[in-house]
Amino acid sequence: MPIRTIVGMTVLAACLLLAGCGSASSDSGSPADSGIEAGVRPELELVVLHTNDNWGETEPCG
Amino acid sequence: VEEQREQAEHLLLLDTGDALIEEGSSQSAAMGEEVVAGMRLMAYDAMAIGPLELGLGAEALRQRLDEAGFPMLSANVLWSADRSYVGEAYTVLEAGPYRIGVIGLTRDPGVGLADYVFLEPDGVLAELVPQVEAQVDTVVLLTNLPYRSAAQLADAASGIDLVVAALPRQLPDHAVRTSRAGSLIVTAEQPFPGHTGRRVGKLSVMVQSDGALSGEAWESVALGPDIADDPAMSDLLAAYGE
Repeated sequence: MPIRTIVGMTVLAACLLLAGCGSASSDSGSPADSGIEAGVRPELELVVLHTNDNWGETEPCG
Repeated sequence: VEEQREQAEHLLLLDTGDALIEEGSSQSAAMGEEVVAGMRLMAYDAMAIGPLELGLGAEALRQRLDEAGFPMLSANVLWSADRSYVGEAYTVLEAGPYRIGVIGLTRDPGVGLADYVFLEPDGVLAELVPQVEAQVDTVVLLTNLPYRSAAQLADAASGIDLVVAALPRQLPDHAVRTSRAGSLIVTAEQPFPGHTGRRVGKLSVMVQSDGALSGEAWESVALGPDIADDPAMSDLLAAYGE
Protein backbone atom coordinates (compact mmCIF):
# COMPACT_ATOMS: atom_id res chain seq x y z
CA MET A 1 0.00 0.00 0.00
CA PRO A 2 1.42 3.35 -0.97
CA ILE A 3 2.60 5.50 1.88
CA ARG A 4 0.27 8.34 0.80
CA THR A 5 -2.74 6.03 1.11
CA ILE A 6 -1.68 4.90 4.58
CA VAL A 7 -1.20 8.51 5.69
CA GLY A 8 -4.59 9.44 4.21
CA MET A 9 -6.36 6.58 5.99
CA THR A 10 -4.66 7.50 9.26
CA VAL A 11 -5.75 11.14 8.98
CA LEU A 12 -9.32 10.07 8.11
CA ALA A 13 -9.44 7.69 11.09
CA ALA A 14 -8.14 10.44 13.39
CA CYS A 15 -10.79 12.84 12.11
CA LEU A 16 -13.57 10.28 12.64
CA LEU A 17 -12.29 9.58 16.15
CA LEU A 18 -12.18 13.27 17.03
CA ALA A 19 -15.71 13.73 15.64
CA GLY A 20 -16.96 10.95 17.87
CA CYS A 21 -18.20 8.86 14.96
CA GLY A 22 -18.71 5.25 15.98
CA SER A 23 -17.52 5.96 19.47
CA ALA A 24 -19.15 3.94 22.21
CA SER A 25 -18.87 6.93 24.49
CA SER A 26 -21.03 9.28 22.40
CA ASP A 27 -23.84 11.14 24.22
CA SER A 28 -26.61 8.98 22.76
CA GLY A 29 -27.91 8.47 26.29
CA SER A 30 -28.52 12.17 26.92
CA PRO A 31 -32.11 13.24 27.71
CA ALA A 32 -32.42 15.04 24.39
CA ASP A 33 -31.65 11.89 22.42
CA SER A 34 -33.45 9.41 24.59
CA GLY A 35 -36.87 10.93 23.99
CA ILE A 36 -37.18 12.55 27.42
CA GLU A 37 -38.48 16.04 26.68
CA ALA A 38 -36.72 18.08 29.32
CA GLY A 39 -38.49 21.28 28.21
CA VAL A 40 -42.06 20.10 28.75
CA ARG A 41 -43.54 21.74 31.80
CA PRO A 42 -46.04 20.08 34.07
CA GLU A 43 -49.57 21.44 34.16
CA LEU A 44 -50.14 23.98 36.91
CA GLU A 45 -53.23 24.28 39.08
CA LEU A 46 -53.94 28.01 39.21
CA VAL A 47 -56.46 29.69 41.48
CA VAL A 48 -57.43 33.27 40.65
CA LEU A 49 -59.17 35.21 43.40
CA HIS A 50 -60.63 38.41 42.01
CA THR A 51 -62.53 41.33 43.45
CA ASN A 52 -64.24 44.41 42.09
CA ASP A 53 -65.67 47.53 43.70
CA ASN A 54 -64.12 46.73 47.05
CA TRP A 55 -65.32 49.82 48.78
CA GLY A 56 -68.50 49.15 50.70
CA GLU A 57 -69.81 48.85 54.19
CA THR A 58 -67.02 48.30 56.61
CA GLU A 59 -68.87 45.76 58.73
CA PRO A 60 -67.99 42.25 57.56
CA CYS A 61 -71.09 40.98 55.81
CA GLY A 62 -73.43 43.47 57.55
CA VAL B 1 -56.77 34.60 50.81
CA GLU B 2 -54.32 33.05 53.26
CA GLU B 3 -56.27 29.81 53.20
CA GLN B 4 -56.27 29.69 49.42
CA ARG B 5 -52.56 30.52 49.28
CA GLU B 6 -51.88 27.49 51.47
CA GLN B 7 -54.13 25.18 49.47
CA ALA B 8 -53.58 26.19 45.85
CA GLU B 9 -50.56 25.21 43.82
CA HIS B 10 -50.41 28.84 42.77
CA LEU B 11 -52.66 31.78 43.61
CA LEU B 12 -53.22 35.05 41.80
CA LEU B 13 -55.03 37.84 43.64
CA LEU B 14 -56.43 40.48 41.29
CA ASP B 15 -58.73 43.49 41.51
CA THR B 16 -60.52 45.11 38.60
CA GLY B 17 -60.42 48.61 40.09
CA ASP B 18 -62.83 51.23 41.39
CA ALA B 19 -61.60 49.93 44.69
CA LEU B 20 -60.14 52.86 46.57
CA ILE B 21 -63.04 55.23 47.10
CA GLU B 22 -66.80 55.03 47.10
CA GLU B 23 -68.88 56.09 44.15
CA GLY B 24 -71.51 58.76 44.55
CA SER B 25 -70.32 60.21 47.82
CA SER B 26 -67.60 62.49 49.04
CA GLN B 27 -64.15 61.03 48.95
CA SER B 28 -62.78 59.50 52.10
CA ALA B 29 -60.43 61.66 54.11
CA ALA B 30 -57.64 59.16 53.54
CA MET B 31 -58.21 59.28 49.75
CA GLY B 32 -57.92 55.53 49.42
CA GLU B 33 -54.75 55.23 51.48
CA GLU B 34 -56.31 52.72 53.87
CA VAL B 35 -57.60 50.53 51.03
CA VAL B 36 -54.21 50.48 49.32
CA ALA B 37 -52.63 49.56 52.67
CA GLY B 38 -55.13 46.74 53.07
CA MET B 39 -54.55 45.46 49.55
CA ARG B 40 -50.83 45.60 50.14
CA LEU B 41 -51.25 43.60 53.34
CA MET B 42 -53.17 40.96 51.37
CA ALA B 43 -50.39 40.98 48.76
CA TYR B 44 -52.52 41.69 45.73
CA ASP B 45 -50.68 40.72 42.55
CA ALA B 46 -52.23 43.46 40.42
CA MET B 47 -55.10 45.91 40.19
CA ALA B 48 -56.64 47.71 37.23
CA ILE B 49 -57.03 51.46 37.58
CA GLY B 50 -60.68 52.45 37.45
CA PRO B 51 -62.45 55.78 36.91
CA LEU B 52 -62.84 56.20 40.67
CA GLU B 53 -59.07 55.99 41.14
CA LEU B 54 -58.64 58.62 38.42
CA GLY B 55 -61.19 60.74 40.26
CA LEU B 56 -58.80 60.97 43.20
CA GLY B 57 -56.91 63.57 41.20
CA ALA B 58 -53.32 63.55 40.08
CA GLU B 59 -51.67 64.29 43.43
CA ALA B 60 -53.53 61.68 45.50
CA LEU B 61 -53.35 59.06 42.74
CA ARG B 62 -49.59 59.50 42.43
CA GLN B 63 -49.32 58.94 46.19
CA ARG B 64 -51.42 55.75 46.01
CA LEU B 65 -49.32 54.49 43.08
CA ASP B 66 -46.16 55.08 45.13
CA GLU B 67 -47.57 53.34 48.20
CA ALA B 68 -49.13 50.34 46.51
CA GLY B 69 -46.19 47.96 46.20
CA PHE B 70 -48.22 46.04 43.61
CA PRO B 71 -48.77 47.02 39.97
CA MET B 72 -51.71 49.32 39.26
CA LEU B 73 -52.50 48.79 35.59
CA SER B 74 -53.96 50.74 32.72
CA ALA B 75 -52.85 50.47 29.12
CA ASN B 76 -55.32 53.08 27.89
CA VAL B 77 -54.91 56.03 30.28
CA LEU B 78 -52.03 58.48 30.03
CA TRP B 79 -51.12 61.57 32.00
CA SER B 80 -52.17 64.49 29.81
CA ALA B 81 -49.08 66.43 30.90
CA ASP B 82 -46.48 64.14 29.31
CA ARG B 83 -48.53 61.29 27.79
CA SER B 84 -46.80 58.69 29.92
CA TYR B 85 -48.81 55.80 31.41
CA VAL B 86 -50.63 56.70 34.62
CA GLY B 87 -49.79 53.28 36.04
CA GLU B 88 -48.26 50.40 34.12
CA ALA B 89 -49.73 49.10 30.87
CA TYR B 90 -49.12 45.50 31.91
CA THR B 91 -47.15 43.37 34.30
CA VAL B 92 -45.62 39.91 34.07
CA LEU B 93 -46.23 37.55 36.99
CA GLU B 94 -44.46 34.25 37.66
CA ALA B 95 -46.66 31.22 38.35
CA GLY B 96 -44.45 28.20 38.88
CA PRO B 97 -42.72 27.60 35.52
CA TYR B 98 -45.20 29.86 33.71
CA ARG B 99 -45.18 33.56 32.97
CA ILE B 100 -48.52 35.30 33.08
CA GLY B 101 -48.95 38.71 31.48
CA VAL B 102 -51.68 40.89 32.97
CA ILE B 103 -52.88 43.85 30.89
CA GLY B 104 -54.99 46.57 32.51
CA LEU B 105 -57.76 48.53 30.82
CA THR B 106 -59.76 51.41 32.31
CA ARG B 107 -63.39 52.30 31.64
CA ASP B 108 -63.80 55.81 30.27
CA PRO B 109 -66.22 57.56 32.65
CA GLY B 110 -67.23 59.93 29.87
CA VAL B 111 -66.79 63.04 31.99
CA GLY B 112 -63.98 65.50 31.86
CA LEU B 113 -60.89 64.39 33.75
CA ALA B 114 -58.36 66.97 32.63
CA ASP B 115 -55.35 65.17 34.05
CA TYR B 116 -55.77 62.18 31.76
CA VAL B 117 -55.91 61.14 28.12
CA PHE B 118 -57.96 58.05 27.25
CA LEU B 119 -56.98 55.78 24.38
CA GLU B 120 -59.40 53.51 22.55
CA PRO B 121 -59.19 50.05 24.17
CA ASP B 122 -59.46 48.11 20.90
CA GLY B 123 -56.50 49.91 19.32
CA VAL B 124 -54.47 49.52 22.50
CA LEU B 125 -55.11 45.78 22.66
CA ALA B 126 -54.39 45.24 18.97
CA GLU B 127 -50.93 46.69 19.51
CA LEU B 128 -50.18 45.42 23.01
CA VAL B 129 -51.46 41.83 23.07
CA PRO B 130 -48.92 40.53 20.52
CA GLN B 131 -46.11 42.28 22.43
CA VAL B 132 -47.15 40.73 25.73
CA GLU B 133 -47.92 37.36 24.16
CA ALA B 134 -44.34 37.18 22.92
CA GLN B 135 -43.03 37.45 26.49
CA VAL B 136 -45.41 35.17 28.39
CA ASP B 137 -47.30 31.88 28.32
CA THR B 138 -50.73 33.16 29.36
CA VAL B 139 -52.36 36.55 28.82
CA VAL B 140 -54.90 38.02 31.26
CA LEU B 141 -56.98 41.16 30.66
CA LEU B 142 -57.87 42.87 33.95
CA THR B 143 -60.47 45.57 33.49
CA ASN B 144 -63.35 47.55 34.94
CA LEU B 145 -64.91 47.74 31.50
CA PRO B 146 -68.39 46.24 31.40
CA TYR B 147 -68.40 42.50 31.11
CA ARG B 148 -69.87 42.39 27.59
CA SER B 149 -67.56 45.08 26.22
CA ALA B 150 -64.57 43.25 27.69
CA ALA B 151 -65.70 40.01 26.06
CA GLN B 152 -66.04 41.72 22.67
CA LEU B 153 -62.58 43.25 23.00
CA ALA B 154 -61.06 39.87 23.86
CA ASP B 155 -62.71 38.32 20.82
CA ALA B 156 -61.44 41.08 18.57
CA ALA B 157 -57.90 41.09 19.93
CA SER B 158 -57.43 37.32 20.14
CA GLY B 159 -54.54 35.90 22.19
CA ILE B 160 -56.20 36.71 25.53
CA ASP B 161 -56.65 33.62 27.68
CA LEU B 162 -58.59 35.12 30.58
CA VAL B 163 -60.65 38.28 31.11
CA VAL B 164 -61.32 39.43 34.65
CA ALA B 165 -64.01 42.08 34.25
CA ALA B 166 -66.56 44.11 36.17
CA LEU B 167 -70.08 45.45 35.88
CA PRO B 168 -72.05 42.49 34.58
CA ARG B 169 -75.65 43.03 33.61
CA GLN B 170 -76.41 40.03 35.70
CA LEU B 171 -74.17 38.00 37.91
CA PRO B 172 -73.01 34.92 36.03
CA ASP B 173 -72.85 31.69 37.99
CA HIS B 174 -70.03 30.13 36.01
CA ALA B 175 -66.98 31.02 33.95
CA VAL B 176 -67.95 31.83 30.37
CA ARG B 177 -65.97 31.38 27.15
CA THR B 178 -66.19 34.19 24.61
CA SER B 179 -67.83 33.17 21.38
CA ARG B 180 -64.99 33.68 18.89
CA ALA B 181 -61.60 33.56 20.61
CA GLY B 182 -62.74 31.26 23.43
CA SER B 183 -61.26 33.50 26.15
CA LEU B 184 -62.43 32.74 29.66
CA ILE B 185 -64.32 35.63 31.26
CA VAL B 186 -65.28 36.08 34.90
CA THR B 187 -66.51 38.84 37.18
CA ALA B 188 -66.77 38.96 40.94
CA GLU B 189 -69.99 40.72 41.79
CA GLN B 190 -72.55 43.27 40.71
CA PRO B 191 -71.85 46.41 42.67
CA PHE B 192 -74.44 48.52 44.44
CA PRO B 193 -73.51 51.53 46.56
CA GLY B 194 -73.13 50.37 50.14
CA HIS B 195 -73.45 46.73 49.20
CA THR B 196 -70.15 46.05 47.53
CA GLY B 197 -67.06 44.21 48.64
CA ARG B 198 -69.08 41.27 49.88
CA ARG B 199 -68.07 38.62 47.40
CA VAL B 200 -64.87 37.38 45.84
CA GLY B 201 -64.68 35.43 42.59
CA LYS B 202 -62.70 32.21 42.66
CA LEU B 203 -61.53 30.67 39.42
CA SER B 204 -59.78 27.31 39.52
CA VAL B 205 -58.12 26.38 36.26
CA MET B 206 -55.29 24.30 34.84
CA VAL B 207 -52.44 25.98 32.98
CA GLN B 208 -51.45 23.66 30.13
CA SER B 209 -47.84 23.26 29.00
CA ASP B 210 -48.49 25.77 26.19
CA GLY B 211 -50.00 28.30 28.62
CA ALA B 212 -53.61 27.70 27.56
CA LEU B 213 -56.21 27.44 30.30
CA SER B 214 -58.54 24.47 30.66
CA GLY B 215 -60.76 22.64 33.13
CA GLU B 216 -62.15 25.85 34.59
CA ALA B 217 -64.43 25.98 37.62
CA TRP B 218 -65.69 29.25 39.03
CA GLU B 219 -67.69 30.35 42.02
CA SER B 220 -68.63 33.58 43.72
CA VAL B 221 -67.68 33.27 47.38
CA ALA B 222 -69.67 35.28 49.94
CA LEU B 223 -67.52 37.01 52.52
CA GLY B 224 -69.70 36.03 55.44
CA PRO B 225 -69.22 35.96 59.21
CA ASP B 226 -67.97 32.37 58.98
CA ILE B 227 -64.70 33.80 57.70
CA ALA B 228 -62.84 35.06 60.76
CA ASP B 229 -61.35 38.53 60.76
CA ASP B 230 -57.62 38.57 60.15
CA PRO B 231 -55.85 40.09 63.18
CA ALA B 232 -53.33 42.00 61.08
CA MET B 233 -56.13 43.48 58.96
CA SER B 234 -58.11 44.40 62.07
CA ASP B 235 -55.06 46.20 63.44
CA LEU B 236 -54.58 48.05 60.16
CA LEU B 237 -58.21 49.18 60.02
CA ALA B 238 -58.06 50.23 63.66
CA ALA B 239 -55.09 52.42 62.84
CA TYR B 240 -57.27 54.22 60.30
CA GLY B 241 -60.09 54.50 62.82
CA GLU B 242 -62.48 52.16 61.02
